[in-house]
Amino acid sequence: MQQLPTGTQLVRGEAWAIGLTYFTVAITVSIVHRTAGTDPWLIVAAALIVNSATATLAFASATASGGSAVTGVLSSWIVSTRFGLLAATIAPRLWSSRKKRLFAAYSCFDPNVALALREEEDSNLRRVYVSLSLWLIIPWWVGSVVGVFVGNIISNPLALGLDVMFPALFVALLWRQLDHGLSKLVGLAGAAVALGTVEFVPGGLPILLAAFTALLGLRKKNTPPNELH
Amino acid sequence: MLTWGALLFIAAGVYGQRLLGMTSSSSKRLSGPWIIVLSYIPVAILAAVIALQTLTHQGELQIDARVVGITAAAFCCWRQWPMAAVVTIAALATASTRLIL
Repeated sequence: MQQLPTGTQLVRGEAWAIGLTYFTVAITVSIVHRTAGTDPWLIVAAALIVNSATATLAFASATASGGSAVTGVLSSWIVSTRFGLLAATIAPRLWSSRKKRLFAAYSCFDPNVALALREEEDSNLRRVYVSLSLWLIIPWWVGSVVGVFVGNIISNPLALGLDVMFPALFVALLWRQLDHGLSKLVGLAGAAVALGTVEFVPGGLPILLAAFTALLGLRKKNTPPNELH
Repeated sequence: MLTWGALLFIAAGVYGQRLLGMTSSSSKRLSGPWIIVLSYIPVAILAAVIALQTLTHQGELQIDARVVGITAAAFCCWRQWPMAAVVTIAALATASTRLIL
């Protein structure tokens, strides 16, 4: 955990913030699953195998509100569509080797993709992606295990405001990319589309629909968002 | 409640989508404008996730203490404070608001 790739834009504070957030979110997710009566080993396995908070939470939410297991699985797949989009975004600059991409796919999250894309050189992008993946996944696994054991102590993570850490981290990630009008327009449009459709389409689809606002990028062909290339 | 069977199906779907994205796009196949469009996708997705996790609850619009926390996060970003401070202050602001309300 002590190593950061040198010569890149990644700074120690960013890595620590991501690690802290995913550790805390993992605890919260474990508590939610424990409250729903899920076997502790299954919670730890979910963290290791699925590697996504939103997917397992979508399943828990769908089944807790009366949906079948099939509905829950479909919900989890829909909310995960953004990972496929993010993977497609970063893939052209990662390794051409299919074997390496098999491993890279496992750790495709929002923060490591967003921060890796700041790098101008592909070699630096790959180093940041790998490093941040470790900074993200290890706290995520450890937090999941901790959450299983401290679930009885922290009965209400909402009272501690832990549910806001995830979107707050995303605010910090997004902030530095909103450096010109078109970036702000895409961000605002994405948020508006998601909020405008959330009550009418199944969970996960609002994010997929919001991704289409990236097409606004065609308006100015020579101005990609700051630090994204 | 999660079961082992459901877990395996969820894992297959999540990893499958990541893998599909990772293997379906390459710089050789994409032309300039589409690479720029791809570069805006994280902006759109991050904004959508922030909006949904701040202003909705179980698929319905809802304004509550989370708005205070995210506003605090935005303030910290504007002041260019470290990322760890952003998430910590956001959590504290939300927790304090819930305590007061």
